[in-house]
Amino acid sequence: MAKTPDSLQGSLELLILKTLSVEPNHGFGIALHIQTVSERLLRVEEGSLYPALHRLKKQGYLSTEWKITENGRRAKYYNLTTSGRRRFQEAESNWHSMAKGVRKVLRFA
Amino acid sequence: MRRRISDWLRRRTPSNREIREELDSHIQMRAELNESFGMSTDDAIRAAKRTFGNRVAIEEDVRGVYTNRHLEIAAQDIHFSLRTLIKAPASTAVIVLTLALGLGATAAIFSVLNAVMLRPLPYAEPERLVQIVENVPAGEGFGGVAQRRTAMSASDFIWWREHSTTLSHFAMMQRESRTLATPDGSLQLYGERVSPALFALRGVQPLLGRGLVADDERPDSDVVVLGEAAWREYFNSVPDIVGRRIELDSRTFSVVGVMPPQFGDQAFWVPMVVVATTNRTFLIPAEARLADGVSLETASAEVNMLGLQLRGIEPEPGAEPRFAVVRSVDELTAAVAPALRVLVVAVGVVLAIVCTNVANLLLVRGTRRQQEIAIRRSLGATRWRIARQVLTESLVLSVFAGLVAIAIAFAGVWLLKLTAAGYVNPRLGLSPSVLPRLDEIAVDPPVLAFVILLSVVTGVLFGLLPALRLSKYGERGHTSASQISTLARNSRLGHVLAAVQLACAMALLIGAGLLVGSFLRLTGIDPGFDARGVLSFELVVPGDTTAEHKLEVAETLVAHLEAHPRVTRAGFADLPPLTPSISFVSMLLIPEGKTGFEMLEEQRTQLPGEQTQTRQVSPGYLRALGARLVAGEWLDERAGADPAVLVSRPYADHYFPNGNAVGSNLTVISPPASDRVVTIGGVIDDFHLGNLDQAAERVVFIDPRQALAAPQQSARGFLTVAGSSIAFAARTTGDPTSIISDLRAIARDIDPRLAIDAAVPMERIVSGLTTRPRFYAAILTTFGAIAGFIAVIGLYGVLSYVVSQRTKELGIRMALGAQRGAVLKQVLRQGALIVSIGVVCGVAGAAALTRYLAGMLYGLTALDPVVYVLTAVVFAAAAMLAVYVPARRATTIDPLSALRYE
Repeated sequence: MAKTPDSLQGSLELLILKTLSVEPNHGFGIALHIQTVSERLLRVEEGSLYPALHRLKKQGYLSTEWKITENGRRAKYYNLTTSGRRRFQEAESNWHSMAKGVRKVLRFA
Repeated sequence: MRRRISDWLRRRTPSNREIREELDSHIQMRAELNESFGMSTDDAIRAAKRTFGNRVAIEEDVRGVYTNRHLEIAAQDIHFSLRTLIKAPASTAVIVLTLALGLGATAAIFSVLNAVMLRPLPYAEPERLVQIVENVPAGEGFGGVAQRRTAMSASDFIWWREHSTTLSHFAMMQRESRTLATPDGSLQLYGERVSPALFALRGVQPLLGRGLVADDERPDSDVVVLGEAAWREYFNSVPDIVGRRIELDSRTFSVVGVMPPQFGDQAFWVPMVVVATTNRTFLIPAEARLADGVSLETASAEVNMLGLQLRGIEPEPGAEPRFAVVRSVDELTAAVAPALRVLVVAVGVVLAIVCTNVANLLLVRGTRRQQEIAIRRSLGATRWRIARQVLTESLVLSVFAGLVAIAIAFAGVWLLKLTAAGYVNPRLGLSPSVLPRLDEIAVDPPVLAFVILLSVVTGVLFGLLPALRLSKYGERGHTSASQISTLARNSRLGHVLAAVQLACAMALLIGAGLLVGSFLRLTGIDPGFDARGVLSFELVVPGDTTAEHKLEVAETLVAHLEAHPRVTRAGFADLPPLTPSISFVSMLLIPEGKTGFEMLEEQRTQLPGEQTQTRQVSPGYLRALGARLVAGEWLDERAGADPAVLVSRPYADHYFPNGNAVGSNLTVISPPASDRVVTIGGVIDDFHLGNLDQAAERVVFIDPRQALAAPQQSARGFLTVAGSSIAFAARTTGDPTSIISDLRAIARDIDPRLAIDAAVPMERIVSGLTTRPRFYAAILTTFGAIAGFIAVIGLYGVLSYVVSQRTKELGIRMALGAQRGAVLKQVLRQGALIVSIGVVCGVAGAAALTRYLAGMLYGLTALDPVVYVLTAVVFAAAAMLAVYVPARRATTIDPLSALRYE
């Protein structure tokens, strides 16, 4: 279990926040969503996902609720809180400006 | 409010169950997905679990989000350590006890250092209290010996007080004893005559009333300040003591105050008026305070300049300063500092051995755990995590040991104080024990803090090596090959550590052996009398009694004592035996056949120990003490009526080498009176007047009645000195202290003003002289024994471990036909190599280090071959026993069961 570097952790956080901005979801759902939407380019390891979810929750960006899934199974659903939504916008714009910067550097010469 | 509660609910830490449930649901959902792709239920679950990875680790990581990770890991480590330690109670007990011994011994020594060297004196600004030291060159000192003097004559004192600007508050203090009349008879109190400035100088608040003030420094002053102990003991701590009048030596004093114990342990203080005299040989201790803002160096420079002026010496640039200012506390501890340094080194060695030994035991134990550690590594524990775990274990051990060590320290300090306290006659005013400030030695909060700190430091120290070593297991996979190589590496390291321990212990034991040898030699010295059953005491006669009356009183007391059923014989003398003293007698004793001129010449070149001493002893005194007559007769059995004396054998041998001392004449010259002739009545076997460690002196024993009859004032002796006491010896049947109460009654019946003082068994006086060597021998032997024991145990541990690890190999060898004898020899050889390296290094170390003990040795040198050989042989034998036991076990290995081992 190698430690996730900070920038990757930051992007995992962004992915989680983005996924949850659509609708509340459980951990498995989040992982599946990221994997599907990224067309399998991104795979979220459970070992990083759950600590990240709990960290976000501890920071107050996420709230949780136990609910029944469509398949009739009990699962813990995560939802964005108000501060979580603000955090998501912040992280998203950060990401965009960073991506722009990185692209520019890569295009140079 | 609601908002905050829901916030808190949202952020609250989920239970372990909840986390587990969440992760389970994840796996279940993955399995369902898998199943929907057409897998069987079982396969689907298995695959889901595989994809998920290490569930326990993830669970722990999630929990880690909510907790302080470091604290939690530490708690886990401690929990795990406790479980591991409890699982191996025997080795845990050995480690804890070993450590506790080392820590406890260190704590005990630290408590001594703390009280003696580190804690400031209990006065105001104690670091500013100083003394003036004069380095008297050999040419000007007594007996042609260079001296370092801290006492000064009254005239010098006045000079300093008048001229010095860098020192303030000059005070002289002189011990004295006075008789206090009580309804139960008279008591002897020990106090000081001091310059009143001493009270301002020390800056201690009185308990009651006031201290002495400048105005008290006049000849007609009649004030006295009492010590707290005297106030409590003799005046029942009555609150209205200030203003009372008390009688000391038949003189009335009015009490003006009571001082707390930290001011000094004297019973009383009376003002001293310093008067300039021409007498430069009567030296009195003095103390001063550095003036505000003045450094020690500045004061030293000024004092030296003034001093040279006082002595009329031209200052020479670059010359060694004759006068210097030193801190009082340094002066107090200077005498014991070298010995304390030895103790600190010794205890350091013990602690080092303890640490290496525990490190070794942990390594050995850790090697047994290598499978467990390797498995944990392969399960993903980092090297740091394992190292941290091993270190935690050492810390847990050392903290436990620290607790046991506190108990050991209490016991150690108690024993130490008991050994250090020896009897010294209070009248002589010598330091009452081996160590200054003995009463202040205690296991107090600073000492406890030291133990705790030390246990943590040692825990890290001895834990570091095993932590680094053990955490390497499983680095390159857990294979038998790596196991064998780590084993080999660890046991090699173990051998080195064992040898180091043996060497340290050996050096310490040799040091201890030297001190024990010195002590035995000292106690083996025959003082020239038989102290068993003899009571020594002093009779204090009121100061206004005439010499003739004193003699009468003393003789009456002897007569009454000899009538006591448990007293066989009694006598009295000017000084108790074994009292170091320099007698300044202006009397010259000229043996027959020598001229006065020859004797004066001889005296000039004599060393202090060779000068003839005179002692006044009553006719029965020497016999009461049990001295042995080697020629002639005792004075009280003597037939002839002419005045006679006894001489000691060294005197007779020196002046009458032909053995014709008895019957020869001595001419007593004591100008201005005319000469007298006395006959030598008998010769006494070697008799020690002063210390045991010097040769028996040349002594002439004179009967005080005879001395008193002498026409010369100077030859009449101690009875004419006001305030002097008379030293008695009474030989009793049984316990000498049992007659003390009868003795007091007898004295009171003769005269209620007589005080009995310093009544102790003579044996305590004799053993008191060897207190210091006994103290050092006892401590170093204790340390040496601890070190030796631990080192031998360590060796045993390492070898038994090696044998147990090699069981399989030895079994194969024996199965292939190796003889049991050969196996035994191989293990023995390995052990013998370690032992001999350890012993040789230890002996070499001792040879290099024991010269620092030189000042504490008597009758042998720091390289005494007997001590070296004896100690080395005994220790090597003990160590070889520790080798033999595991070696023997190796030969009893049954090849078949050995091969099935593992």
